[in-house]
Amino acid sequence: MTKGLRISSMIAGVALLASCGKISFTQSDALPEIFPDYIGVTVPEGMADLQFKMADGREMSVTRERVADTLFYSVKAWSKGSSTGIAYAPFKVFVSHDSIDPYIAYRLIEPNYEGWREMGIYSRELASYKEKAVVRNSATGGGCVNCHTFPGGDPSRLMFHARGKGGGTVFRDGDDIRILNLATVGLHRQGTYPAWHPSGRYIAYSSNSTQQSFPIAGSQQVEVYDHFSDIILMDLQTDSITTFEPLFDDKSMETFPTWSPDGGTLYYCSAPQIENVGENRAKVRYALKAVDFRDGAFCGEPRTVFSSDSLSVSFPRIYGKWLLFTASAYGTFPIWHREADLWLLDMETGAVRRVEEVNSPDTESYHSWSSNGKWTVFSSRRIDGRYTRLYFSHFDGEGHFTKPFLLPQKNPEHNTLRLKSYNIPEFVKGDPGKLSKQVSTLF
Amino acid sequence: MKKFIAPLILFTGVFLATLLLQKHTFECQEFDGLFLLSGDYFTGMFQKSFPISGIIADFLTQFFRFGVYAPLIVAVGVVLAFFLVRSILARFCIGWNVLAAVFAAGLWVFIAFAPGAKRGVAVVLILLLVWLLSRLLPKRKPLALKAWVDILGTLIITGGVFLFLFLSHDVREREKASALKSAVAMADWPRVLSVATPEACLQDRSMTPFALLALGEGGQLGNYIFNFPVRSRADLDMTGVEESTLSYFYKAVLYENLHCPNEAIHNLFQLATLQEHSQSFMILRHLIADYFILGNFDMARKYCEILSRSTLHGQYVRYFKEQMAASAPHTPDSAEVRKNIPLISHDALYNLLLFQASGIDAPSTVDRILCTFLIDRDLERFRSVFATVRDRYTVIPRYYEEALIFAEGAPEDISQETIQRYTAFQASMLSMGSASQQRAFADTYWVYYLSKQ
Repeated sequence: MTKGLRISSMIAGVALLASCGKISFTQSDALPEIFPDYIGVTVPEGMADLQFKMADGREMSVTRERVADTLFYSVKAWSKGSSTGIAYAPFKVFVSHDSIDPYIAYRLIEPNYEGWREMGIYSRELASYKEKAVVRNSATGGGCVNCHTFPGGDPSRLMFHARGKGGGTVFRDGDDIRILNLATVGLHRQGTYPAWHPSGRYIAYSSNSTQQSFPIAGSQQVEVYDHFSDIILMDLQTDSITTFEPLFDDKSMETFPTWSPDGGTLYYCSAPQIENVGENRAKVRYALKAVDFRDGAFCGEPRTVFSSDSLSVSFPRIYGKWLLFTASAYGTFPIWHREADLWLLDMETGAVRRVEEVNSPDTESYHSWSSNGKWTVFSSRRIDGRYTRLYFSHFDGEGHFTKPFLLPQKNPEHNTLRLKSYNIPEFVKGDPGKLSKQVSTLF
Repeated sequence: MKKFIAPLILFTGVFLATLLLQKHTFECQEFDGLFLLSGDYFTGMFQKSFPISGIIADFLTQFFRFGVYAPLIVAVGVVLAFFLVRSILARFCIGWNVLAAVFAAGLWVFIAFAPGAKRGVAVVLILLLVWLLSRLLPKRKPLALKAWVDILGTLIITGGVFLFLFLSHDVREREKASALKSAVAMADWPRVLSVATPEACLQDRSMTPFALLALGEGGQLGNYIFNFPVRSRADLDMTGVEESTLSYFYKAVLYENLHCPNEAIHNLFQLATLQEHSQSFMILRHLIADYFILGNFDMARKYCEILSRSTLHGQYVRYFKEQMAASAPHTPDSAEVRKNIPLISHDALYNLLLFQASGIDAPSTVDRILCTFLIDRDLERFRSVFATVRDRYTVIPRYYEEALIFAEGAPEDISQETIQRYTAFQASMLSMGSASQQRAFADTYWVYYLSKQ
């Protein structure tokens, strides 16, 4: 935790004395029920202080004490106007010395249907509560901005799609910003989900024909599926696009590409092409596949890495031998699937398990590894079922995660009051800056 | 004392004009407005131009939801402008109240025609700034007109603006549309029909779907649908109508009344994308109600929490919190259940048939299905569906009888009145009856059926 911890603890103590002077507290062995639930979580050194409130809305005061690498939070709570309260047993927060990238980037957008108004790609400094707009869609004529990616977490390089009139794919390399409409290049296909090759020269895109549908009843309000999808490869040196027949055929749908750390293999998700996908959506299950990549081209036969009769795979993300993916009962858009969870594959042994320690009864979906593989950030709808929020979990390198913690906010109620969802959280190694002005010159 | 007569006249005129001519116009500004004591609201406001006037306007707009507050606020704003201008003019030795009244009346007209309160607030803020600067000038004795001239002038100006607004076609039409929206939002169907009369719908076709919605909710669709200027399905369900705040609002309310909160929420979210703040008070209120009906209390509570950060929703939020405390939420569906739930379509008729087949049976669903067939002139499907729902009607609605007699001759349970009218219609058709005779049948289904074949 930050150096400010001691000072804030003192302030909290003074506030406690001032506010609780006339309240008598009963000591309890129970832990407080707080929101967000930070009890027993592991945070990186230097993370912004964890701010929380009583889950039932009662008034509270907090004192914090650090002993070695453990923070002890003592909470006293009382009802407004009451002269009695409860002093809860202190709860622990563990501080890890495994570093975390200083920034994350994400898109903020209402969890809407077909339409949108304001959205943007934002960065957040993890040591503080500072959030900045990297680019807002007001800079792109109001079109959709999506699928941002920083190669290897490099803040000076960025790619994102800007849809709509005059739109295309925006590439930033240092001070150089340009836009290219992939639909005008070679195959006339738009790129969707990107995977930037570790060499920085290539980007593999899935090219998806996606549709939203809306169940007439029940708790699921949106279903999204692809009519077809393929994988294409862009060479940034030549601005050319190439394909590889097994990844570009009518028999199957390929999506969610991701590279192995050495760039020698492309992992992706694939499902057999079927008719009337909307009606038959429950039959669509994506397997995890891999194909080799040598000298700027795909080669060999694709191979199945993992498949299941009851799971559909999406968002494979690799660090070392570990491959973290999202699995839902069917389909290709897990964010609207309440059963979607994070799963972990040991690529050396082939062992797969549902990561129970981070999952919730609600949706877990997009996720990224930190650049040292010690942390993961993932999106979850566990608070209310619709507005996606970001959670972090520490990874021990042996296949185990710690209890996840919600991205800290200066005011914990911000998590409830914010009317936007967090999309596509990615770690970034530095401040990506503000690009709206530069980007607006492209439109 | 005399110096307060002119502003009093102005205040009374503005208050009464707003109350009598623009009450619903301002009420609807609240529907589309938003003010929240939350970080994102203020951050968003400061990314826009003129944030301070925007925030003040949003704050004031909250009060427009309740009867006299909008007239009161507008009147106070206009009179404040009057005093500011009078004080500024005084520094230039001008003591003509009537001149201040002219400016204030200009602001009044500006506010009356503005889409929201922001510009009016901006003008008052600018005046305030000019007034502050004018304080730097030395105080001098202003040259005043005779009191009666000021009073008479203000009276004439106020009366003139009142008359101008009263006669303004734009003000009237906007108020009518707003009155309709207000009645629909309150599900006050008799009031909807009092605004969206057949004559009003003839002038403004966009009112017809709302009138037919009200008829449907009152169980009268089959009796009166062709009293209204119905030409196509779009008049019944806005099929094919360009997407707009009006069409999303209509569909949200329609699907709420068809007991399909999922599709209502879909349209509310779409409506939100067209709002200045990507959200609005009215949408939040509907979302709370719809999520409550769905049994999704997590979402209903979230929106309650958000609305509680406005100024005037305490009672509303408390009501739903109490309702939720007294009810049990629905358990979310498993993937096994979800995968079999049908998907909604852009075709309203398909959706209605889907609702019926899925047991989502709102009182107006069947009538809407039957009336869609009538509009489509698809008597075959009308007959086959009507046969399955015949028992629902103790008395067959007028237009169903007219369609049945047209399609089947004279089925046994058709009323004598309809049979006689049909006989007269046939006779009129055969004899190429006079224009007045034909007009007598203008509102029959038979004329609709034959007119655009």
